[in-house]
Amino acid sequence: MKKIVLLFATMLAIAQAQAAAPDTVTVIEHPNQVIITETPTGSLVKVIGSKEKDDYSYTYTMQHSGNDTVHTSQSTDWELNLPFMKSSNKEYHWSIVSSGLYFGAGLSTSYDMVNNCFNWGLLNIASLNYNTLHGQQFSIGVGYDNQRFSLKRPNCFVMDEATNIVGIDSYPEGTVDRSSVLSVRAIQFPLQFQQFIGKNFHITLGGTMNWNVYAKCNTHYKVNKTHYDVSYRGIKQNKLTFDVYGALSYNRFGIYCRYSPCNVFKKGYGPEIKNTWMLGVAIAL
Amino acid sequence: MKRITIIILTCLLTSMAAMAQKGLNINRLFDGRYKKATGATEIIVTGYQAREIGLTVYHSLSVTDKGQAELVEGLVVKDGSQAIDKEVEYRNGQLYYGFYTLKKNKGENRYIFYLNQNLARKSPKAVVTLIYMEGSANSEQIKKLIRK
Repeated sequence: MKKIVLLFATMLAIAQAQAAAPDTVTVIEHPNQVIITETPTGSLVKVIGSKEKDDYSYTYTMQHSGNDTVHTSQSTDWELNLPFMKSSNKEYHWSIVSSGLYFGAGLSTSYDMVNNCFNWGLLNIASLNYNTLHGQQFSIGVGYDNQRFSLKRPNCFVMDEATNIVGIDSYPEGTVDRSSVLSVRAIQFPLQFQQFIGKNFHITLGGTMNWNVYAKCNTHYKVNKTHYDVSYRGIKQNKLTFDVYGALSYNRFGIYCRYSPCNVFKKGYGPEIKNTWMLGVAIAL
Repeated sequence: MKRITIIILTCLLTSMAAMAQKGLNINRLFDGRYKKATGATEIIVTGYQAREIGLTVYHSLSVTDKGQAELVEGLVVKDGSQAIDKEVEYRNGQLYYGFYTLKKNKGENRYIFYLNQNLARKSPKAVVTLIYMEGSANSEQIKKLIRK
């Protein structure tokens, strides 16, 4: 209806411009369709269908003279807002997620008796993330970490149960199937920054505070077909340690590097195992 | 059991929406043909969520197939010819958008909205959207609802 009013207002304006009294050209009640087209030489108004007759058609042509300037005002696009449509692209600043399952191996540069280290965990059992929506994300979370250090043969961990001091000794003569492992389990509190690069890549940099809740030494060997499995608990590990890490991820998969500068044992309660480097793979970091 | 309940509820909702649209040409489009079609999104909302915005039925269909756009436009124009009030805009000889107010059904206002975003000037998208709405909301409220 508004269109019809506008149409006749335009026609009236043209008529006034020609310095003549405004005349009604025609009145069409409830047209089905009004099409206004424009060519360099003029404008055409076509009305199709009316209240009385569906096949009614009316055409009105306005020719412009050579000096005429045609001003057109085009309507803007309809910015559709579909109610109830859950947009998969919608992004939020804040989110809580679980992320960063990792497996890695490495070495300790401070203690050459350590053969190798293994490391696995879930960096964020839950994390609170803040996304800037401009390619950066900050997060703080809580996760789980497990580290295992195995000794080079023929060395094994031993512990003086009176003082809880862990030392290094050799396996008894004639032992086979030998292994000696120190494992440390921790609740970790990572604080990290992520920079997204394009659609698929992101770089992660962060640090964790580890609350080392449990440590155990386990030495296993066999002598004359007899198996020995010795476990030492009550180890005096450092309760709080700090690590730094970095990762490069493509979609959900990435590689990470983690550095632990802190000693595993409390001072005086075991060999100095620190400056540990881990390299591994991470999923959904 | 859960799956059966969901199927029954879906059928009920669909039939309720279908009843409301009975007698309209666009009803052909809501016969379930797009439910599993790729590039098509169909949303049916009745009950509490619809009432929250002054509607009893909200039924939308978005298709990305250009071939389907002609079919949708044709049916919308047919129903539009029966509208008691309409606001339409044509671009390049094609219906860009149409907002039609239909005759009331059991005291409820009824509207059809059509938008062909292929014809948008700023950022055209290969999406044609059709919405059928029924409820107490007036045309201004409906426009507010579906316009950013």
